[in-house]
Amino acid sequence: MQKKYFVFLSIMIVSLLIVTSPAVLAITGEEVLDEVDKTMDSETRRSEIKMTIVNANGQKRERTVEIVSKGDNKGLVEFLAPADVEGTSFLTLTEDGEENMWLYLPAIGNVRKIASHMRNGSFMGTDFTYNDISMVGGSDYRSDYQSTLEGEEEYDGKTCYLLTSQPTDQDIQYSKMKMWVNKANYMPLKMEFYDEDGNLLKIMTNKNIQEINGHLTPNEITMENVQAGTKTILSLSNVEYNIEIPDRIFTTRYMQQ
Amino acid sequence: MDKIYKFVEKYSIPIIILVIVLTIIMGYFALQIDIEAGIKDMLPQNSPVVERFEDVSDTFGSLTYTAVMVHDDDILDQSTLQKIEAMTQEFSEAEGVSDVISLTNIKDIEGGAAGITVKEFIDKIPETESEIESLKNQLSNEEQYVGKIFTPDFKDSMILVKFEDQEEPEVVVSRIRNIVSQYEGPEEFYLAGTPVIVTDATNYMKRDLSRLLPFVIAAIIAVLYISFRSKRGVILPILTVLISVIWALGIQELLGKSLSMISTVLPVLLVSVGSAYAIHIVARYYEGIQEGYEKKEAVKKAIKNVGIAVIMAGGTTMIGFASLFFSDLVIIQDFALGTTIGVGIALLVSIIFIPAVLINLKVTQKSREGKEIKLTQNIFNGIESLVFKYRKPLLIIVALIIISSILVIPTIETESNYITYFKKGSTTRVSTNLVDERFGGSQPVEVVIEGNIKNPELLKQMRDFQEEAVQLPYINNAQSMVNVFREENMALNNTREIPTTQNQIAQYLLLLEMSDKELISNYLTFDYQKNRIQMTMEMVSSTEQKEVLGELEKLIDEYFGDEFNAQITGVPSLSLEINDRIISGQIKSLISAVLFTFVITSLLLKSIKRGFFTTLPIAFTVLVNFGLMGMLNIKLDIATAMIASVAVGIGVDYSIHIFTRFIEEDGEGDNPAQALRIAIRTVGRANLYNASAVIVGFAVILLSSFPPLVSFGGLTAFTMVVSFFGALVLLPVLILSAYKMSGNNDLLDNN
Repeated sequence: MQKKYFVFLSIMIVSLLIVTSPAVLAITGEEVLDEVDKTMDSETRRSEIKMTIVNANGQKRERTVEIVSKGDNKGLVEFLAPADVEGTSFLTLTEDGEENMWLYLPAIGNVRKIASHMRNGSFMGTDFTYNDISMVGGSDYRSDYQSTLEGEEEYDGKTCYLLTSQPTDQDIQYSKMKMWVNKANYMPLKMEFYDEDGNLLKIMTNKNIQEINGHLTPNEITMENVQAGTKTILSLSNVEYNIEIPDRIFTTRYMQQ
Repeated sequence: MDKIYKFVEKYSIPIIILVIVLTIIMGYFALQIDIEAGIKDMLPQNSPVVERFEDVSDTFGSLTYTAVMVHDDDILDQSTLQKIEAMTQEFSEAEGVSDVISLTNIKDIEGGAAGITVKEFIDKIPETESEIESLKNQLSNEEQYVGKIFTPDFKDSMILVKFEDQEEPEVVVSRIRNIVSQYEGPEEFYLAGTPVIVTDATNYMKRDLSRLLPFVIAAIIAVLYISFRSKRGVILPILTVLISVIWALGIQELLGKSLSMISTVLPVLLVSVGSAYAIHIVARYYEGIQEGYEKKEAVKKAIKNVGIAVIMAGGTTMIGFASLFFSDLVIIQDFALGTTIGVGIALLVSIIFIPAVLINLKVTQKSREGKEIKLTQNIFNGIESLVFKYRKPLLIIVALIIISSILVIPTIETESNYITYFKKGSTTRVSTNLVDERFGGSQPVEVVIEGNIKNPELLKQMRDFQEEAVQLPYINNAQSMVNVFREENMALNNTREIPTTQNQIAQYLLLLEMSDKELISNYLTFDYQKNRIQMTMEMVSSTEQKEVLGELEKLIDEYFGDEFNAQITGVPSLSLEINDRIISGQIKSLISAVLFTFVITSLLLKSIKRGFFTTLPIAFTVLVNFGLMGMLNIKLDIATAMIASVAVGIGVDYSIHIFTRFIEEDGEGDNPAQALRIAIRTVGRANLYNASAVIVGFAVILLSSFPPLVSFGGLTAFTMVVSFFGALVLLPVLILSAYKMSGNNDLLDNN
């Protein structure tokens, strides 16, 4: 993953040397993302998330999970509610650039590995894909996307950098993404995801941003699928950064306890 | 009547011009009218059965679909699979199609070492023999698809094309047909499903009627020419019907109505019925000319003397058709509207436009002479001797006919299944039978159960219910969350048991939701509270349908009873509802038609007794119509259900004309027997011309290749013969008998 990043960086530098735009912006897209990374970056994170899934008819389903992550290569999701799925857990480990996922369902038994092509599948029935979630969890955004700074734009009364990104990872289903990043604090406020035909598919918004342990944290993340008319709202609580989390949590054995 | 004549005389030229101009305008609209063929459109939107059907469609997606069956030596060979894949794609993109399910997009729940995934079963079309073999082995284990999407011998495959609810089914069916035709050969394709059947039926009717209409017109022209031996005797009645057909269609288009399968008979019906009024006016005009009256005087006398009878006749015909408004089926109500309008216009044209034309035409010498044809003379001689010589035997025969009709009426069966409309070897029937045989039916039967799917008791009941339901005749392919869980467990644990605890069910669901949301939403609502069991039913008669659905209701009660609210819906339920409504509508519209006819004739003839006498022959006709249906085992369906009302509307005219002339003649001082003789010989002649035209018109429809049209044409022609006989023989016989019994004249004197 680090290697990939350097390749990017070099491509970006080379292209900057070649393309000499008259209105040179003070900052590049990659640099904005660097800053974004910094605001999100922490050694460990833990939070409780209430997921409210709303279908096209306005019916709701609610689930509560706890998400724990360490570095940018270890993550564990555990269901707290409703009671009938309590204990269901979901583990992500990235080793040598390869992402592996496991699932444990207590009523069904043994831990199952999830195939990699499911990364574009729905995360626990929400409007987020596994990829989207790992992005929320603070995965290295730059490695999977190539981004350009389009300029500055007002969003929600704030001056934002507007980035457009193309996925470089062929496993990603989106053709394009747009991101509005608050110029004042490098907090992404809104993202738009475009489908393979180039049509707007989903809109993600970050709201109620607070500083917790020196990290900017949105307390409400909404993902709206504009094509299907569905919506998922993630409400974050009990967010903690840089706390002590032992590595043994991120094992399939721990999932089954 | 004088006022009408004065109006016509004064404005004869403007009337002619106005009618021509309006006809051209209406013609423009008439050409735009659509034909609709949806089965759901036959029932009123607020009917509980339709509401339930739509409720389930809204929750789980459209229940209207067409089954496209692909037949080939091996459906898995590369070229056939490629075709199926390409067709699936084209169908999905077609307008009005909501969803397509085929061999190339069915989902598979995969488990084992690779993880749990839901993906398309065939993600890559196999090329080599060994690839095909291994696919066959794989598919053979997919119990949820065997017999539903492909047959175990891999010779037939099914493409299910679901329709969007708002789209007109016949439009979508023709789009599907177009796509299919591009892929034909060497594979064979068979289309089945209610939309296809209804569309085919409509197209058959449209095709046959437009082919037969010219012959109907030609036949009527021939009858008119034989009757009147003059050009205007032919042209004027024909003009009347053309104008009324054009206006009726134009007005319906302007009212935003469309033609249904049954209202395609409207032109033929109006051609036969609408000519009557013009015939009576023209016949009376000739009578006057032959008596030596001047042109205007002859027109005046025609309007004065038969005008009231024509208005009465037209009025009762309109009532006969309007009585169909009491039907509980929307398509029959629309038909009622179209025919009532059409008859009203024919009436108006006959009484205003025809005289206006006659006033402006020269009187030819030939028309002064008047010739009685031998045949007509013989007919009237026969009628007279029947009435006066064989009164008693005749009454006995009529009584016997009435008794035997009443006896067979309870044996009449109703039918609302369109497949019975098609001949045995027809494409529609062959396709439907093949799909029934290979895939267990093309009609959706749905059971919706309210109850939380996480309740293990409910899941178990659903499984047991499904197992029993498919044991019923004609019911197949039960599918629900039960089958999804079974497949999921097969992938996870290599067993097809269903989950047995709430936690297990919840986690099975969670796992599915993560993999593929659609797989669940087909059978289960988002809140987990409503479950759907999908089944298919073969095409069988309404009687069998009723029986099987009744059994299914019992099973539903047994398994879901009070604990869970479960309801059944689907196309067979709609079609049974139509069936029930045919009977209830038939009874209501018949009673109202006869009753209103009685009231109207009583009012116009200013006597209840007269009204009673005029109505009696038509009641006899209706009875004989049903008697014949019972004897010939003709089923009461949407088409034949209309005949009785049509018979009342048209048939009562003959009696009205005879009775009014009888009164007219008696009023001039003759004895009743003599008055009857004159009535039979004069008005009877116009009746004969009219009846012959109508009978010949409907008899032409017997040439149709479409069975329901044949029974409709035949029965209507038959009832016309009966009502002609009723008016010219039975009515005089009844009048004479009444005289004999009472021994005085008070029957006719109680004004």
